[in-house]
Amino acid sequence: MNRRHTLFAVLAVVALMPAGIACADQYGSDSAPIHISWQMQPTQSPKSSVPTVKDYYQSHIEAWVKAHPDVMLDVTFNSTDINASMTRMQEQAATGRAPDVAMLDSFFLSRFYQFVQPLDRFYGPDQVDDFVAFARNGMRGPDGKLKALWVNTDVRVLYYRKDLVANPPKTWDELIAQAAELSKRGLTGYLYPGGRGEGAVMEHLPMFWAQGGELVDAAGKPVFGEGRNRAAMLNLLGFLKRTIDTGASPNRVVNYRFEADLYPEILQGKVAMFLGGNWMAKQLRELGDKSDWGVAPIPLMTQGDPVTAAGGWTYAVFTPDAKKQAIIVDLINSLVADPAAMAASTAALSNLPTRMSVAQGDSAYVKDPTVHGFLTLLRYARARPGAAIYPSISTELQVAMSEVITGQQSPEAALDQAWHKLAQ
Amino acid sequence: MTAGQRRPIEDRPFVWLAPLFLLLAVLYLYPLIDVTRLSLTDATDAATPAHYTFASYRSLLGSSEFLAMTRVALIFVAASIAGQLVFGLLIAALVCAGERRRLPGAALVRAIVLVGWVLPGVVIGIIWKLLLDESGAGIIAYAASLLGGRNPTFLSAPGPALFWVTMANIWRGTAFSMIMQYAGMKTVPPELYEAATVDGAGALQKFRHVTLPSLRGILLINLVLITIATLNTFDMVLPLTGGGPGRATEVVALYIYHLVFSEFQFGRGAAVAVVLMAIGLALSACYARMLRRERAA
Repeated sequence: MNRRHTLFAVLAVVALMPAGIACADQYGSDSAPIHISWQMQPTQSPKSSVPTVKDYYQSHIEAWVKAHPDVMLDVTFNSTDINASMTRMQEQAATGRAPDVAMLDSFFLSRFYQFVQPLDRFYGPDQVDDFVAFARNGMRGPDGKLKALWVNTDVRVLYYRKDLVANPPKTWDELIAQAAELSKRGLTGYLYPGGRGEGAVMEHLPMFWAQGGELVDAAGKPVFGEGRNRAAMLNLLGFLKRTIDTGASPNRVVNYRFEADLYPEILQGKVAMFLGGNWMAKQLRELGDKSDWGVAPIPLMTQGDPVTAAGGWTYAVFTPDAKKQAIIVDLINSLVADPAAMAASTAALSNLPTRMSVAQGDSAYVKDPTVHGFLTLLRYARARPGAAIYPSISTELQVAMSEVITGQQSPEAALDQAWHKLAQ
Repeated sequence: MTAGQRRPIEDRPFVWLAPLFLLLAVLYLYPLIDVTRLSLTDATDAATPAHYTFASYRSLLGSSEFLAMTRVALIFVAASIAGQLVFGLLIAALVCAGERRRLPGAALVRAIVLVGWVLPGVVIGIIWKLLLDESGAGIIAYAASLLGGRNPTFLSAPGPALFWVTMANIWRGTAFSMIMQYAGMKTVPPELYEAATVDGAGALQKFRHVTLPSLRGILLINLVLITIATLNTFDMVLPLTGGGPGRATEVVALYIYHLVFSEFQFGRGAAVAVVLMAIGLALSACYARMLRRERAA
């Protein structure tokens, strides 16, 4: 190999390097004096495959950058595996390599409390009080400081076909009676995610919470296998068993790990009722589903106030640079956090706002009867515990639920197994 | 060589090999050492300080789920290997026989079988999930209904789920086995078959006394390679069953994934990864030894 060949090889490697490393999107000029690194969730960004979402973020970010010529936004994206993405982000934060601002799954926010910068100087108590209770609680860390902004959310409900179910069930007994009757007519009475996925646990937690059950205590220690929590969990597992034993639900629910797994069966037009999230209403329409779905609160063991589970996304600031923080807050406000921006962004996303002023506002989106139905449940919503042990609890409950559904274990044995595993 | 005259680069292998060593050290050796270090800690997540301990390994030994996973992994690996070897051998023998008889379509069969090998594991998992859909949309359920089967159970019960996950893995890995064994069969001298024919041997006898002994080396190497590949299988099982129902299809690599990315038990996940790595290294050592023997022979 002569020198010319060596030089060619080196140049080829150097030329190919940017192609290998370039994975960020850039908004604004390279010559702008302020560079802000920003990690977004692709489904809530210009990368979204949903045209309304893509257009919203694309146009708003471009407009903001045009109004701020001194800022360049260097945008990277979470991977589709949210768990893995949040884990990597936590590693980055722990080693001081986190982006200046990032979107964090609300479920993971508590794991970042020690790494994110407080935002209290930008949002006064009157602003924070506008947020719905579970979001307000999650946004504040144990030290009482504002750690992030919870900018959108979702709730879980019972969907029912209006042509098949005249009065949506309010209790488990009513649900099983109606679903078993519908199943005898060749329909699928009641469908839910019951497999190895977070969807199975999150959809069923409201049924557990409504009985006064708690997964962890105030210190984050598991308590779901003790006292009345154990009784509540046994009731829930017993209910799942009854859905199969009575024929109200098919045992294939154990194959459904997340809400989206229900779509193929729902689209066949034989499902009468299913447990799902608010985002499914729009997605089903987009998938060509013609059924007329009503929404109702999740049936509970005994009749009472509705309970539902909420998730959503937050924006957190990592940079300690005060000047950058102020710019980032301006960006977040204009994009998703100001009341007007939240109303527009949640409408584009078909998600729900976390500000009560927006939820009770008069935009066409929140006035939509179906969306209004979801919004009425916001004040009954709870978020999953932010305790470090929760992911392990969830995994064990997923195993317990699917083993009860398939008849591998009795509710008692499945719960004992989960509880002892966590005690280890 | 006079003073000032540079030695030719061929005489300085380190210069050639240094970039490779550097890449190997950064991309393979460092992660390997770090995983081993992590396995000796109780690390959970980046926010919690970790301590050095053997607890991760100790907890595995007494863990019922680790035992359950080991059982599932053994069944999955043994059945997958047997299936891939047998079907690979069968298809390779058929393709070779077809080529000998100059039958049309032998090359097409070879290409079709390779599809399973070319497709990414995630895609294979999704395809099999669609095939095995139990709600009436699945092709296999539909075929079963034509034969009078009602409410078939494929993935919603532990036994059938492990069976079908193994079948999907056999489907995926058979192509690689077939290619290995097909290549081996192509190296068997045709004179051996001619001599066997003269001796009056039938097709089965030729296969048993000529083909199989000639393929001994390649079969052993294939066995080691598909064992390593099956042990590391994860991408196909995740979309197909997620490890369920319960833990019925939780194979080793998926178990590690759940520990690390769902439960954030980095120390424990790393300990299982080290065990898996040790098995993989032992099998690789066997492979290297067999390769040396083959070359010597």
